[in-house]
Amino acid sequence: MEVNLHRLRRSGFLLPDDIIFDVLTRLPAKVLCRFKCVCKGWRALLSDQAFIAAHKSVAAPLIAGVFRLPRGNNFELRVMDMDGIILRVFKNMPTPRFLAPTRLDLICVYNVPGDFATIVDPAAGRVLLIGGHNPGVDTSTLPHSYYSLGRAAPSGVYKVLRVDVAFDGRVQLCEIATIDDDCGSEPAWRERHVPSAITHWYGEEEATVNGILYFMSCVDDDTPQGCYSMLDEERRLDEDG
Amino acid sequence: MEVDKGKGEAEETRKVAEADRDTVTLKSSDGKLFEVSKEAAARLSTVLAGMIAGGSIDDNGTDLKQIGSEALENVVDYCNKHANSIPSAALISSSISFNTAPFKEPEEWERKFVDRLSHDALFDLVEAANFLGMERLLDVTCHKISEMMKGKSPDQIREVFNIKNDYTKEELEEIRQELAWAFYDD
Repeated sequence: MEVNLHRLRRSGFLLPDDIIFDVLTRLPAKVLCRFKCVCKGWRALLSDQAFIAAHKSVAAPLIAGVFRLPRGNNFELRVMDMDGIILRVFKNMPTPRFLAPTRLDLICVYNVPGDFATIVDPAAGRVLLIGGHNPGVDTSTLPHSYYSLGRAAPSGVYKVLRVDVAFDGRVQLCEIATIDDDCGSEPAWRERHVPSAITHWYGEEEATVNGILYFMSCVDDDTPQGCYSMLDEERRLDEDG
Repeated sequence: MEVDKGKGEAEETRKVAEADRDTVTLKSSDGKLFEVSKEAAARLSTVLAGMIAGGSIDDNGTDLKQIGSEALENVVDYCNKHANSIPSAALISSSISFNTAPFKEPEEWERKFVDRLSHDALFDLVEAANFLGMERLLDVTCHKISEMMKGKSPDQIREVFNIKNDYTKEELEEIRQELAWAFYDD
């Protein structure tokens, strides 16, 4: 017996799941977050990795920026679309200062002196606070920390590199943490040896491209000092460069 | 002998005539017949293209039991209109944007075509397009549905899509608080 979809839907049957899926991928992130209230099924679908991936492939890129409010020392993170329309504002971020330069789906904002950083997933609306040194690390000698967010290539895993420096900017400690898929739990820091070629770190002249973190030396001149692979967690020496 | 030969020739002639026809006849779930250009049907629908190539098109009306007459009329109307539309160079160049999405914006006539439809007719058409493997029509109808959804509240969405709210009051309140930002206009 053939099923007549036409009549079924009229008697209260929904559109097929694949059509609902298709339609929803065409909607902006803000509308989708609102639609999580429609029913449990939609909430599960909208939080599903496959859906998020499909939505990203259709959606236009977004821009993120940290803004200082006119009064007080308050900063907020704004996520905008390409037309400059603000899609989402993250307000309660205690004095974040730096937005780690990335072109990724996650955003990393950290404060001064860098005792914590915030990883934001703008599409899912999730915020993950990371910080806290591993037990046994003497933080009194590490007044500043700088964070870099990158995506290991080709595994696609998000990793955060934290460089802890002494008062004079000298690098004391390098740590790496892996962000899990749904930004759900605070990651553990893994200590990595400080590559001998890295002496000073000021955190501002850097960029992560395709899993490699490039940074500049701020000590003598502005030539790129080296690069760091997020994947193998080893510094790639660029001795001649 | 002669009679047999004549019959064979007639059969041959009929087959040739069938292959030469430039339309196919489609039959809706409620038994109505529609004629559609064979060329457009084959180009726009992967399912119809397969049926035409496989010879499973019935001259007396190919049964499409999943599609009602109103939706089928729209499908046929779309195919026939599409057969006549040749996108102008201006339209092609204006569709180039920074957005790398594979979806090409609906053309003016496609927009008008779906704008006049009621919710029910639009939903029937999107299902028909899905069933017939009509990628472009599916794209245009899904686009229209998403446009229609943009300004709607969760309550209105449940009404349009006939969805039951399976949250408790407390659960709903919790999500609303968590996603409060999404409920305010900028």
